[in-house]
Amino acid sequence: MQIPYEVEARPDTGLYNAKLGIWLFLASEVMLFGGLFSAYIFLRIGAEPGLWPHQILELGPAFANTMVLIISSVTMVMGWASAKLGEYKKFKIFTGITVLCALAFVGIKSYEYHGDFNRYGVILADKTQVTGELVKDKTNDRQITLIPDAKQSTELGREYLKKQGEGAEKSGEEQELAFDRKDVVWFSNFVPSYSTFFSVYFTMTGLHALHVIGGAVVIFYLWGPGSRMYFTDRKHFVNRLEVAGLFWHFVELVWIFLFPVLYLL
Amino acid sequence: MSEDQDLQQTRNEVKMHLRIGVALTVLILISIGIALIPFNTALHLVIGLGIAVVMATLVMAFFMHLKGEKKFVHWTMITAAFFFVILIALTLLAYFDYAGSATIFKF
Repeated sequence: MQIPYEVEARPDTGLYNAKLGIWLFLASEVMLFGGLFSAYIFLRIGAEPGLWPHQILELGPAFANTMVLIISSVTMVMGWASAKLGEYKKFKIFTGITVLCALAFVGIKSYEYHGDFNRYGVILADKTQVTGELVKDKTNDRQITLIPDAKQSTELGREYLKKQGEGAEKSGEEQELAFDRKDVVWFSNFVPSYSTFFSVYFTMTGLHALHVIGGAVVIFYLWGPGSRMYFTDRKHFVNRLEVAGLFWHFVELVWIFLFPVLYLL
Repeated sequence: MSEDQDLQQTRNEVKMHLRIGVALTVLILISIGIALIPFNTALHLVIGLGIAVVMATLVMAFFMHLKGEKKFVHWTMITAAFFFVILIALTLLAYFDYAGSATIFKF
């Protein structure tokens, strides 16, 4: 049995089935990420002054990932246009680059997470937070020793370092700071349980990364085994590519907001 | 639109896609540049999110072809955007209930 409007557009909506489906799905995705952004705003404006971290995350990998997604969006739409115009080789090249970009994104994100897991912070009773690299051989049951980051992400952390002496603020100098365990109310590496910010950060970027992986799997299928349809039913294949592209651009759209919200502002 | 016209339009859009890619790159660099300049945090938020909205509009209008899309799609996304705004507004209302106990956007 032939399913109606699988390839041709339905006269009343002007859309074929998959396109109608993907737009409805994307509308629901707006609400999914909208809920998370809303939670982020609520937690951020409710945080006590001076405590919410500002630019605590490494900017380099995030910027690289932004560029990777912009490039992949361009190649995705070029791949779709090439397939539509009957340029199979160009379609293969552009869509292949999109898949490679998706892999690069996941690789860079993993590297970034690895970096986060290797950075530590202590929170003192007065809510001062000092972040830095852990000196493992000088950390024991009685004390925690850090080489503090030159740029602290909270106002209280910056003030604390100033009090410790001018030398601590100079970048490049590895001044160690030892904290007595009894003065420390929280100590861990940057994992979701470290702070509210990191809970939100890992939830949002983790969910986004899952979307990237899902999109990459579909695009890889259309680039590889699924591309056989190009020779048997090109219009249907181009429609599939368009739907995958719409999802991929939505993934970029979400990142466009995640990047400034989590890394810059 | 006939099939030939549709293909011609796709052909014409190829260069535009590249230009949009360049525009997005420039905008993200501006966004980073501004974020690294120390000034008023509220202004940072307005400019940073403003640039993000411009970038998102470019992606939706040109890469997702929302510009020439059917009314049904426009209304679907307008409905989603409407409920998104409601969601954010409710969050802000909850905050303003406790407006005396917290200071907005102080770091």
